[in-house]
Amino acid sequence: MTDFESGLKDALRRREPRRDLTDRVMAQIGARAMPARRSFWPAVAAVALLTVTVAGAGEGLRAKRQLMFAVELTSRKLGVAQAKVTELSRRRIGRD
Amino acid sequence: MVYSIAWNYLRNQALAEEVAQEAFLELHRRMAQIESEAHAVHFLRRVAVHRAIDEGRRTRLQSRMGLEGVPEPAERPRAGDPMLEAALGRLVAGLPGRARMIVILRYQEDLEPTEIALILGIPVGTVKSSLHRALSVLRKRMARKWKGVLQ
Amino acid sequence: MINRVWWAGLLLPAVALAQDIPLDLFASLVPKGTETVEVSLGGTMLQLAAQFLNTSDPQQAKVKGLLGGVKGIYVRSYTFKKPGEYSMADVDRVRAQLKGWSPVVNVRSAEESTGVYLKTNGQKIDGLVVVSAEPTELTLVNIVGSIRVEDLKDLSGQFGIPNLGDLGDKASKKRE
Repeated sequence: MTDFESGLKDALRRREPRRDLTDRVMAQIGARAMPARRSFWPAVAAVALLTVTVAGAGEGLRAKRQLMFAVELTSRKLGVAQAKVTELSRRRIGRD
Repeated sequence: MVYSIAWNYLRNQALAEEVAQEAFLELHRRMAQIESEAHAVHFLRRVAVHRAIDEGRRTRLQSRMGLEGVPEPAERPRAGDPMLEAALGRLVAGLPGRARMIVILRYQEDLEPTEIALILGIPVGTVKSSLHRALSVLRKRMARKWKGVLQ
Repeated sequence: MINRVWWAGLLLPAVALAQDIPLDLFASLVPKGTETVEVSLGGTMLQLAAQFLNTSDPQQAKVKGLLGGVKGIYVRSYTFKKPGEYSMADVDRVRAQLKGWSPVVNVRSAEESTGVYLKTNGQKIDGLVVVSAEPTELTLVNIVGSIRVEDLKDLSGQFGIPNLGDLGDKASKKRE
């Protein structure tokens, strides 16, 4: 990279928005999502929004991956339990 | 990232904030379709780029029209030449819309021409030639403005 | 006095949402190098995860449907290098916490044991615990809140494992 291009990188470096931008975005999400009565979801949606950043994004996606894993594992273990019950019943019927 | 793309393109804090808000709101609307962190970043970047370009067309901002007095957003003190950087920033803002965005995506976001082409929906060759031409224009204008300061 | 009662009201749901069993009992007991997977999704994190589910995907849509009354999902899964690296007595200590729970499945042999327990509140299920102890794998699952085992049964088919069949029916009968 040339000196000129380095200068461009410096000139075009990332800027911070005003601190209240997040608050305003959250308020907008709340205004769009909220029905006549208060609901939990605008706050959750706002939390979801905050976690989606350049470095972030991931918290919600990680939580989703964990959720899918947990449900899959639970289903699998329940399946194992079922299989054992079926096997025991089969053996019992065989003995009777 | 989102705000920065918009600010470097539009050089207007209020408009940049609007673009940033819109990008995040759009992400919020489409959250269920987001499959990964990389996807979210790409989505946000893409929306920010296109919204900024649309806003630029709408407001028809030109570097020659009153950008000299535009306050820069707050940032931490850095080494470097703030006057040179400010001048370069204004020169970039004076580029035609698409070339401006290509330069921003290349030098702010460190994207390769293929990634820039994907975001803008244009051929890679067009990105490369636009970038080459934009850099040439910027160097010439900078040289004219600063007469040997860059050497 | 009024303020204290108000704050207590805020605290109570957080306490109520905690795990039903001491899932982290094994954290300090398992040997170093044991492959460990931990999931702790309660309250906001669970709702956040649900937000990211893509309902155009049938599997994810079913998971979203499952979550209606769920307040927390907690998993601890340990994979050991060889048999004998954890004590069945410790597993029994976890089970001992489930007094008052209904054992839907309780199968035991010399080397392994599997238990599925439901916390019922009248007609409602308020919690599910699965304790699966195999020679080189120990899994503890606690789902806090209202869940229909039949819904998990539907999902078991989706995840490519045998359908739960009777297990879901047993859960239904327990509620009747």
